[in-house]
Amino acid sequence: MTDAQPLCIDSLAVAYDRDPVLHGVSFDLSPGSSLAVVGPNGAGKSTLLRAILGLVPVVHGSVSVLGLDPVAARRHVAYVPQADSLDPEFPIDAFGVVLQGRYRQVGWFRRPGRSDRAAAHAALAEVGLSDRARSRFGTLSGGQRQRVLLARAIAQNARLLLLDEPFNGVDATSQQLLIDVMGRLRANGVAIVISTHDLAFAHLACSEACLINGHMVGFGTPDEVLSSEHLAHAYGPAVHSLDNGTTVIAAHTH
Amino acid sequence: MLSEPFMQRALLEVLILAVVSGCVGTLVLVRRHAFVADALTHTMFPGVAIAFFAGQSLFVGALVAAVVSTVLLTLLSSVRRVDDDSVLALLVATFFAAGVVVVSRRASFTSDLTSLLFGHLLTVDRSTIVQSALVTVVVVGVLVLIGKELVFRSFDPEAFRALGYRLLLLDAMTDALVALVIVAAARAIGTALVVALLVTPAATARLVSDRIPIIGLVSVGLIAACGVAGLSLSYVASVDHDVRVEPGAAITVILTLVFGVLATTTLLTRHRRRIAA
Repeated sequence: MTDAQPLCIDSLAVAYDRDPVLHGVSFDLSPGSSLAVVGPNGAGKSTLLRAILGLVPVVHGSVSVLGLDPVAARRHVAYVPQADSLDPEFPIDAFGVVLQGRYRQVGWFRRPGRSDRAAAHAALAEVGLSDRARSRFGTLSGGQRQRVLLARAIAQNARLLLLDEPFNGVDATSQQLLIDVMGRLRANGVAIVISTHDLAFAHLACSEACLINGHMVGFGTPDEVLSSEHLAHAYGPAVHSLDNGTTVIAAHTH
Repeated sequence: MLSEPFMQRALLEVLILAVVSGCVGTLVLVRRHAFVADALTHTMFPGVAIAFFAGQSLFVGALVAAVVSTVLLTLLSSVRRVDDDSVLALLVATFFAAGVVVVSRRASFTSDLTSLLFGHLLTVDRSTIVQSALVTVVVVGVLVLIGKELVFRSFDPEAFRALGYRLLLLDAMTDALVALVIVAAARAIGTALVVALLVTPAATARLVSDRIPIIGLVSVGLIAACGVAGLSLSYVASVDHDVRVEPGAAITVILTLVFGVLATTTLLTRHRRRIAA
């Protein structure tokens, strides 16, 4: 199954209570690739991630994850939420969060064993936070929390990683570290899907980009897709091209 | 004081309830479920009341009410168009009114109502203690078996669902565990005061620790200590000073005082640290 295509999406349409939120999405992702899903707020970025997890009703088209139905593939897919969506007062330490990545392998009614703890320690080391294993999650900085959540996904040994806005409120050091870790995961054949507002990051760290705004505007390499014409189509008049060729989007659309 | 058999029974019941309420109280704390726990204490009331007047076991009455309210709560909470707070408020008012309607048909309305709401710790019998012990074994057993999933779900429900776990099943379990504690404590502490055992000790323990197992242990210890103190106070007041103090209420007040002292100390310590920094 590890040789199967991590993600095949064909003419996908998703609707909540008959209101269509996303349609016309088609692309394939190969092992080791990383895809930036870019689009304005409400464009359907989170919906696309949820469709890949089998959490929203697909009204048309299909999603295949590692050759399986999304629901059947869930334990091979890791979802990394935004760190600031989690309660900072929750009484759990960094190691405890990373260990959660092993729970599916451990199963119901059983406690994580030595190999699970070793995997969790290794994952924490991978993101450079071994020394903070016993720190309460909420006492870590935004960037460190995001690294802990990535470590949880690593401990899960997933073949496909879904990251929701991983760079919101993250300092430069953690940002670089996250990019490095994703590079190593990709080298091991893990495919990564990242929803992001950050165009610079999409160019820097992703092999592919998918621009959406209720429907798919474009798919291809970041250079092809994140051109000013495509961005203008997705974001409207907020897109401006600077003299040096850089494209910027006015902040109020974020 | 402990030579009296009724005091021995009361003490044993308090210690058993300490274990079960301390453990489930910790779950209520991490799940941020205090309001739901409070609501369940009210929705259990008509079951207890009906059983009382039908001459049936309060335990069975509470158990039936627990099942009905847990199912209703879980189902209604999954209706997306109605928010959880409205569902709780609706259930609390309806169930509590139903209980009062049942109780008010009796001539001994006031004393019956008091007994059901605030319990009678000093008159617990052997069968009540056995029931409480059985509930404790079941509840603590379940917590040990699925504790890691309950904590994961409380911390990060999105990632939990993404892994393929079902929220509805686990949420129903949580409500059922809370309901079982209320079932176990209804006779001794009463349906109105049991929420104090579920919420106050864990909140106090949270002030002294960041680790869930320690919060659980401290909660159990706190209820046991305050339970013994409340029982003693009630006994001394009644025997030596001829003043009637219901032990359930005394325990609740002492638990709240401990929370107040610790919360104030924590706030002052933080304030001093901030000034020093």
